[in-house]
Amino acid sequence: MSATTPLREPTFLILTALAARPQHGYGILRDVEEISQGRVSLQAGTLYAALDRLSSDGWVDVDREEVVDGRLRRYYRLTEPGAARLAAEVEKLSAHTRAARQRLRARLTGGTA
Amino acid sequence: MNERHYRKLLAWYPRDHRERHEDEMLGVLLAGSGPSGKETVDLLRGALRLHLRRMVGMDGGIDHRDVLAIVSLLGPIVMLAGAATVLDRLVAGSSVWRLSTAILEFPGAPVWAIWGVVAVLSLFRKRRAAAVGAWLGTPAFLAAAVLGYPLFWDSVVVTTGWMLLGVLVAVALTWSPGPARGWELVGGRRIVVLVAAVGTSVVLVMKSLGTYGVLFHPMDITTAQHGPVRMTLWALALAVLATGVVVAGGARTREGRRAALVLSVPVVVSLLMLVLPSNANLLVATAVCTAVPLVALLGSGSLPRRIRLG
Repeated sequence: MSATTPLREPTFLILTALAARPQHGYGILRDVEEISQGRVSLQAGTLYAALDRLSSDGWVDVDREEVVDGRLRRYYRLTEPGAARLAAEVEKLSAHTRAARQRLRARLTGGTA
Repeated sequence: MNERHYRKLLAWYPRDHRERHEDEMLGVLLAGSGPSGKETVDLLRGALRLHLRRMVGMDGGIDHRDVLAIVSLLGPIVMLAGAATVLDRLVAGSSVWRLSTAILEFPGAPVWAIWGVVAVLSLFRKRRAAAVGAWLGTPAFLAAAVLGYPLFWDSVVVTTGWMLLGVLVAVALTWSPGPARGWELVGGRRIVVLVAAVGTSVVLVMKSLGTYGVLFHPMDITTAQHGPVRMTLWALALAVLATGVVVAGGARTREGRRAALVLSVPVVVSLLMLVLPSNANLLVATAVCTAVPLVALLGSGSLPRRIRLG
């Protein structure tokens, strides 16, 4: 994925879920729901297809593995390039949001171009 | 019960993904609220996406250094299949006088000799020396065409497949871990298989003498000109070569399959030439025979699409 291609919402949310700390698959699903305030509910198929792509892009890596109740639990972490890509996306979205807010304010105060 | 249901769905995932993630995904799915139609569709869509990504090599999960390492080892051997046309003449001219005449007649002969040396150097894992030979051997096709043939473009078109594979082998020998790594990946036994396949292919082409000079003609014209026996021998030669590179490259690994695709370039070009119309412009024929395999190799992820510097 190119650095200039906008991130799709699930990708953005998965990277955000991993930004502060490594998480396992189920933890990411729950966190994405929390971050999006219940608006986005990812399923396992989407999550693992995304993780496969993000790993191959070098944005996400395996942090560690644990066995819990006889099942493998793999923790994923955001890599430096992944963090840089997320930061760039946040910067871009913030700039767009600022611009949109200003325009809306101008509209409310009756300004015209 | 749920576990069986999920295992059935996960069976649709690519093998390498299953081996790495099945247990982990099962844990995530069983921790959820239970199977639902939405979840089933999502899992199947995920499986399809991963298969597609692997098919067109978009997932980056291919180690191109390993693909090229296999090409660096096996490529020079495959190149020798192209020497069949010259070998045929050399065998016919058994006396020294006739041999020298044959070389004058076929200026391509020294080029194939260079590739013979490259193949030996590669087998002895002398990467640098083999790379130098490959970089000399590829433009030598052009030089032979300029010096030796009245119909320059004719000869360029005929050797397109070999020149293209020659460049790829030279690149592989220069920028990959080289034949030593290739040997680790394929092993000695598969090299023997490839040598046997190339040898058989050469003999078959020699037996089908006359077909290889008339390459860019539709099948019906070619068959009419050369007869079904010669054309069958020629087709067999291609089939044996293609089978040899798939077996030797390693059909079980993604890197092996990609390497086999690279090594099949001369086969693909030969087939392309067969379907090109007989009145095709030679420049266009060369461009088509170069572009189609390159696009196929890039599309299938056999060659890296990005070059990383540093």
